[in-house]
Amino acid sequence: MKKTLFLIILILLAGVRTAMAYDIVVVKSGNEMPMAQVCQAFSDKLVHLLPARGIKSIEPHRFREIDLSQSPTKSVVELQIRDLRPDLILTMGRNALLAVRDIREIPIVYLLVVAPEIITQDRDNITGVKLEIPVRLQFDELRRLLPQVRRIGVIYNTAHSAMEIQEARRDRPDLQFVALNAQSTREVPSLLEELRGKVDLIWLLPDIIVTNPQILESYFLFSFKNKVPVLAFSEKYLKSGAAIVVTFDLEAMGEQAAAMAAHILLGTSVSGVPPAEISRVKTIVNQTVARKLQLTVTEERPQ
Amino acid sequence: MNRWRPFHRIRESFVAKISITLISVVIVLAFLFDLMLIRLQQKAYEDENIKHGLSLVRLLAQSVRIAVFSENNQDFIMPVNSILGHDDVVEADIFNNEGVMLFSRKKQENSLAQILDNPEHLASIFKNIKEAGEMHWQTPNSFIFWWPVYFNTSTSSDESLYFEMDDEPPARELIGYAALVISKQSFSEGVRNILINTGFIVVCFLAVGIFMSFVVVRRMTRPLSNILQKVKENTGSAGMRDDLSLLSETYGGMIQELEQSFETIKELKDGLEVKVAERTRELSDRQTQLEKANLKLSETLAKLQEAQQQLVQSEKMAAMGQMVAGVAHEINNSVNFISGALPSVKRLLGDIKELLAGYEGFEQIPNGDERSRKIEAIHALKNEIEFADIFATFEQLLANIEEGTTRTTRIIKDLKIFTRQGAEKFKQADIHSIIDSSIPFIDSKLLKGVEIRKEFGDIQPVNCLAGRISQVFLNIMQNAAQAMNGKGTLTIRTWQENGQAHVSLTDTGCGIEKDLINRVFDPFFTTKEVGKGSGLGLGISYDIIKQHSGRINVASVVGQGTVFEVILPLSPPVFPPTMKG
Ligand SMILES: Nc1ncnc2c1ncn2[C@@H]1O[C@H](COP(=O)(O)OP(=O)(O)O)[C@@H](O)[C@H]1O
Ligand SMILES: [Mg+2]
Repeated sequence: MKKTLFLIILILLAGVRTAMAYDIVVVKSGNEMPMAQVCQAFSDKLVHLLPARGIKSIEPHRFREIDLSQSPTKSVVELQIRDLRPDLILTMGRNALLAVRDIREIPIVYLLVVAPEIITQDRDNITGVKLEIPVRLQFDELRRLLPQVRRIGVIYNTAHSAMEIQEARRDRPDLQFVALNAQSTREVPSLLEELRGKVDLIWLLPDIIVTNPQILESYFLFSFKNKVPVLAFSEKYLKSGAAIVVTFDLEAMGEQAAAMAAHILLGTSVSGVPPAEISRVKTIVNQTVARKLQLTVTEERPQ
Repeated sequence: MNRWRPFHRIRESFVAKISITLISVVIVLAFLFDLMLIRLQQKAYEDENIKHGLSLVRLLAQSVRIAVFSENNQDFIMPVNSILGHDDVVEADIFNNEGVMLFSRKKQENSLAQILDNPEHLASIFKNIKEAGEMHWQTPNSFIFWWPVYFNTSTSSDESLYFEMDDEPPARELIGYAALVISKQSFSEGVRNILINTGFIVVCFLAVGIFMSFVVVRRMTRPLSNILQKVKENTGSAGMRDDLSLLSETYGGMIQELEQSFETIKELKDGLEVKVAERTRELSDRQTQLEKANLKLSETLAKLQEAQQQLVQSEKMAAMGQMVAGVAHEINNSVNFISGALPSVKRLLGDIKELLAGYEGFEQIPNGDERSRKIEAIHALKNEIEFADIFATFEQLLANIEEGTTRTTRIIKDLKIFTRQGAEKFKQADIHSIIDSSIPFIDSKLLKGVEIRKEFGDIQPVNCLAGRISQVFLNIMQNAAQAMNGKGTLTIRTWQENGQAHVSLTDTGCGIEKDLINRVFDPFFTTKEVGKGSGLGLGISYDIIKQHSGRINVASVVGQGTVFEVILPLSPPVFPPTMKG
């Protein structure tokens, strides 16, 4: 599959012969679907942005992959990379970024990392696209699809997701947020009980305390019982019972990272390319759930 | 006594024995089968119930997961109620992992309460569940099921919030226990149904099985029964003996007999050669004896033949005697005509002489008184001797004499036919005249009151020995006359058919006894007293008819009469040699 893709790229770029060919090492925390998809989008975009040139043009931008699930130790990964001396390191997932973060001489672009600042801190050779859905974008979509919704119920944990609540309140003064703080996952069901009758929609936060995959069921139970839709942040929740999902677009993320990489490869210093939020979101309505909850969804943007 | 006979029969009949054995086996098998079936079904039904209960308690454990996790009483109501909605579920209890009861709901009082009263017991239950993953037991009227409540506590990374992380092993934590009590009411009903259904099926099976085994045994043992029947008939054993012992006795007896037979055969074989030699000698002795006897026999036969010849001769002589008597009588009769007429003729001749004497000298006497006196005396004489009728009487007498001579001549002629037999040759002859000519020879005394009816048809002349054939008819007619004893009818009928002349002679005499009718043609067979019958008449007749290649038949009804039928070919195929003598 990958080989054919490279072959296609090769054929496409056969006559271009302009840019230099770059060595890029891709470090993956695993080989799951989103990784492959994002990686593909990244490489496609990069080739598009930097057409291969010179001697290496026959084999444009060499992508070498290191799968952490196969070479588990951090030192081995580091050794490998130093051997290869690539022009750029692309990491995918939190563990991948953690594995290469001690390499300071090669620019690192990360993808699919939640809260990367905890890892990167003040490092100047690391940049990337943060894995989080900007609150603003989420509510833009919500307004477009369900303009009648006013009262948003949300359960959060002060330690993890107080920021989002603040942000939401700040960005969306037109909406009323009923935010309840859960000290532990255990409290979620009873807090949900408190929200009964007080809200038009439940907003699911990417917070490990309140959106613990096991307690998740109670959100959807609540949703079905009280005919209140759930707004979630990942496609993953569609099948559990979320009515609307406003989530990142994997391809868009890949392409965004490719653009950043292209800048860096073309000479821009890493510090000149700051970590970015995702620029484009994807909205999916679970029609079955929407019908069950008797939601009138105004329109669905074509994908 | 009679009342018990059928039972004896049953005990003795091997068919009944086999049937009873087979049926008992079927019954025992059926009951074993029944028990096994019930056990199996019961076990399966129980397993099914336990499985059902376990799945219910698992469902409960699953659905109260969050409620147990959050220990929120409100959240128990719905899942617990939905489980209690099942008919037989009578109680549901939820505990947290420290053994504290979080929620309990009952439909009726039951045994779980006791367990809950005993914290030690409860602790051991929890320990068991932790080890085994589940637990269940039964009390007399309910099933109790336990299932652990787990809560998945995957050490989720932030990314796992966004993506499906399938390589992450799902970690789970025991957070409580769910218990269900299910009443045994419908279970026991089910068990009862199983018992009834199985019982019914087995009873049906038994009925069919017994019937079938009965039929099969009957079918299969029919040949044996037949043998037994025959054995019983042969031995005539008072049928009250056991079939099988009878059979084995008979069989044993047969084997013993066979052994004896074999032994005898062996002995015989040993002595056979000696015996064969002995027998051969004996046989040759016998043969010589036989030869001697044979010689004697042929001698005797020759003597007998001689005697027969003599007898035949004597019969002939007898017949001749009879005939002579007849002939004498006839001749006497016809001579009587002549001799009877003779005195009258003599007297008439005297009268005529006297008359002629009266006329003597009449021409010399002149007419006068004397002449008239003379004429007067002649007239008186003529009156006296009835001169007018004298010639008529005379002619009458001559006719009588002529008749006498004619008859005599005829008798003699006939006698010639009858006696000329010795030198007779085959000649064309009219059967009717043969019959006619034999009638006069029948003893006329016997024919006095007998009517002879002749019904003659058209018959061509027959080539035959006329004298001999006439002898046949005479014999038959003589017998008939004797049988009728002077009173009756003798019908002689003749006709021609297929080139044969048929003559049937029917009398109305005494008839012949059935036993004797076959013997009438035997020589010397007679029923008549000595002197009257020789028994040779029909025998000779038979020989004569055979000589003509003809047949002679007899039919008779005692007291009514006898028919003899003589059938003669118009011309015999070959002329057989004339009989000797
Ligand atoms: N017409 C008849 N009716 C009755 N019996 C007869 C007649 N003809 C022959 N028989 C029987 O057959 C017997 C043999 O007859 P036959 O040979 O003529 O011998 P015979 O007259 O001397 O006895 C007679 O004794 C008589 O019993
Ligand atoms: Mg006779």
